[in-house]
Amino acid sequence: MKRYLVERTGQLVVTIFAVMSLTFFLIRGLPGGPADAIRADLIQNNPEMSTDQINRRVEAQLNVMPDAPLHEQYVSYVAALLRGDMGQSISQGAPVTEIIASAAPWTIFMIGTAVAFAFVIGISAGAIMAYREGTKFDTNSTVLAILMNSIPDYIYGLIFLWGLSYQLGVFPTGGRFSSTTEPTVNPLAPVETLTFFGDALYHAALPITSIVFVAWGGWALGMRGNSIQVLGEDYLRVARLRGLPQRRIALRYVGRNAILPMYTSMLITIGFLLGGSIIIEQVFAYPGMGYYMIEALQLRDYPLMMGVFLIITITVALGVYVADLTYGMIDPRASVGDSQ
Amino acid sequence: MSSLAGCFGNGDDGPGEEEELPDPSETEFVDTEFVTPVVVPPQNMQFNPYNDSNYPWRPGLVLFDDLVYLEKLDNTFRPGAVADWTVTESDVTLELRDGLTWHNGTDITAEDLVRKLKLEIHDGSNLGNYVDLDTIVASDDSTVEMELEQTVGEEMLLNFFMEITLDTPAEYYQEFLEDFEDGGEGENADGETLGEFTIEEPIGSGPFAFEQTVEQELHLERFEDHPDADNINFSGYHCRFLDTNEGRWQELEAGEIDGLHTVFTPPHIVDGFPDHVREFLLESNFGMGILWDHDHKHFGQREVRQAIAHVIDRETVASNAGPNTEAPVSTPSGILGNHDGTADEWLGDHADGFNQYEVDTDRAAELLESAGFEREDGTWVDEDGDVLEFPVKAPSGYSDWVDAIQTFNDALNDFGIEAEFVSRDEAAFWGQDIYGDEGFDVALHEWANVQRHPYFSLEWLLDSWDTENVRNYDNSEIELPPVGEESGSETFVPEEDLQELATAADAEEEREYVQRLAWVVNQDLVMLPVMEKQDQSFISRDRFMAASTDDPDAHVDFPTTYLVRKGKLVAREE
Repeated sequence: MKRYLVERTGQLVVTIFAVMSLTFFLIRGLPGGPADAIRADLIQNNPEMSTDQINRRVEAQLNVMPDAPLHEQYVSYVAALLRGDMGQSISQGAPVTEIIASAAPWTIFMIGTAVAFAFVIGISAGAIMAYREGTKFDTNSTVLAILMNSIPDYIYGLIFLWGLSYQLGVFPTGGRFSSTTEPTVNPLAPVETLTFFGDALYHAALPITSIVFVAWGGWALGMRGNSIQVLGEDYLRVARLRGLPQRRIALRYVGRNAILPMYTSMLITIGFLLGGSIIIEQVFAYPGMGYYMIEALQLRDYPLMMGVFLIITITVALGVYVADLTYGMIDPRASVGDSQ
Repeated sequence: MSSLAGCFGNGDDGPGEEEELPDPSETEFVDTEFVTPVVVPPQNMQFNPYNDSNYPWRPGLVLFDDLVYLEKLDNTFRPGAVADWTVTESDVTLELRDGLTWHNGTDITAEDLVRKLKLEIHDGSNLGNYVDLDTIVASDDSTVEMELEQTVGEEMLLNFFMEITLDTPAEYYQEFLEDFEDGGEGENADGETLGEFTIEEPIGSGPFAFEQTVEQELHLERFEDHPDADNINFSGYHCRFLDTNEGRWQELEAGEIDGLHTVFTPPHIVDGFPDHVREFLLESNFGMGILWDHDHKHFGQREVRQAIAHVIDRETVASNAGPNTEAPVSTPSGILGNHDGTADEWLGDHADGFNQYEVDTDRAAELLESAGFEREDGTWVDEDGDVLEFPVKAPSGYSDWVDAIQTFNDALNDFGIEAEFVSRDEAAFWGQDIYGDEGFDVALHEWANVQRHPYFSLEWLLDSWDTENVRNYDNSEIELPPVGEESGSETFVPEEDLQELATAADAEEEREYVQRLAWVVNQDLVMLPVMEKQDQSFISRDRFMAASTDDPDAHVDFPTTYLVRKGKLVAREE
């Protein structure tokens, strides 16, 4: 087990390092640098500005050295990163870690809630579908799951925004919480804290629903497949013959065994959804990491872009890593390493 | 107040029905806010205008006062923080408006204006070409005097002042100025430069003061001590974070916001707005033109540029780009005023002599042949057998330009010139293609830059940094027939003519030099001006009353901010 742990941790580090390096060079391969982007922004906003003024402003805002050779930029970037320093954002004028620290909780809140809902709905639906395999309910649910899973979440987002926000006015059109709500997280002020959480959830309701609409289907189909496979196993026949209660069979024997493979996919999905949140955050004007990703991309803000990329990459890699390491605990059949 | 009830209606009146605006002194105060969008998230905002990161430009229009305002219907200047001005051959005197106060309670004095003007010049403003920085002084509490390095017309000088905002209170900016004056680079005690410095709580000079930034909104509150405060009958001006055009249109339509400062809005969206949403069109004083690289083998030839001008129907291009907002350039001369027809007035008696570049493919063919081209299988090739082909680069985010260029290319392709549209990300377009190493053969660019007097667009076209470095245009001596004539030869030196124009003693002389410079643009086509834009601004009259579109005050940037100052954007009684 120890050897496996070391090997797997090594793989994690190599993966993160490789992705980090790849994105570093890919981002720098984009046409136009930060100076160009700042210049473009200035020209667009201030057509009357003299070239002197524009040059001066570009210089003032540029606190990175985009003209340094690429390998030097790379070495200094990696060195800083190892010290926990993601650098200074060019467009926001603040350290990247600070920007991500303020934006990430919102994205994680939205994605986390969505994943939890979708997972519960998905596996419940999948289990019921498997249990009623071949019935009209199963067929209809399968078609619905496939259909809903094939439409991107931002399409649902746009439809919800148009119908529920603009036409009916039931939900807010954007934002993370109301401008009238004071953000309070304090156990000594439970009413204010609950009000704030309620308001935040109300604002995140549509983006969360959009993601749940897409994600539940995948898990439902996966769970259905696993469950059907498990239902055919000999030990279930034995369990039935032993006269064990139906409820115990469903939960302990079928549910537990069928859900195991879903566990890994959930952890991986969280990472992918973080990346996928970029568009949904744009649709709902929800300033999380997605908002800063787009801003960074438009302004060629390399440090911020790298920072967001890195967080997403690390989340995916860590998700898989945690899944790999903990899977053995949930399902001892899957444990590997020295004990074998 | 009851007598005004009839005027206050319910906002359902159509665009044709005008309601009379009440006298500001008779309106009842309403505890409500005018809500408009902003593109910077409030939690990221900073209020130093010299630092472009996260500076909210639009709220700045009510948070601060401009020195003067340009009313674009009659092209006259209106007093702002500067109430009066005198421009002589050698000096300028500016008189501050009475009763101005910074939002921290200190009086605004001439010293504040001196600080702002000096910071502008240290920051690289073109004003420094005319005004001697060391001569800017406060002669008393409300008067600023300065000496001119060269004679310059009053209107031209006011064009510079209209771009200047009274936004540098001593508390935040004095140390930058002192460092500049000590020969430094303009740093404060913390070693920050003017462009890096950030302000979270601004001390403004305008009719609305900073209250707070909250999630999604910046809240500004009416500043009672401002001289215009009596014209304002509502308590707040809120700016909501909305960073897409679609979001802004939808919120306006749904009645969530009360106005849009300026946003390009296609006709089908405007048509979908409720009747109480009023569209204001304002001269933008710039427009799209065709930019050539004069070092290019083909575009360095005057005949090729002229031929292309004869192939394109500017009217179709403008109408495809924005039928309600884009006006085709009537005579490509580099002079603004194509929406109201004043552009050609400058040409006077010579107007008929200027080439209008009407669509004339025979003339275009003739010009290309005279430049050594011939048509082979429907395509034009030069003497070396090289096909006349080129990519036309355009910034992808400028949707009206993209629509325009597709029309432009279709016309050229039909004529046998192989033009290909290349859409470029804005950073790549401005940074690499136009101002970087990548370069371009043909691209789209503004042919004028917001200042209305012909001096500015002609200087921009013929004698700016861009002329030499971006267009690679040799402006030293240009051989052309005399103004308005078909033959003959005369040498034009734009730099000299511009100098004469800047110092022209009377309107007649001014016109003469405008015509000479416009003639160079018209004949040599350093750029081809294609269309001229109007800004679209919107006010929802559901909760507010607003002046009609023909009110001159509605032609100052922007109705959503200037009308407020004039008592012409009034909250309805709740």
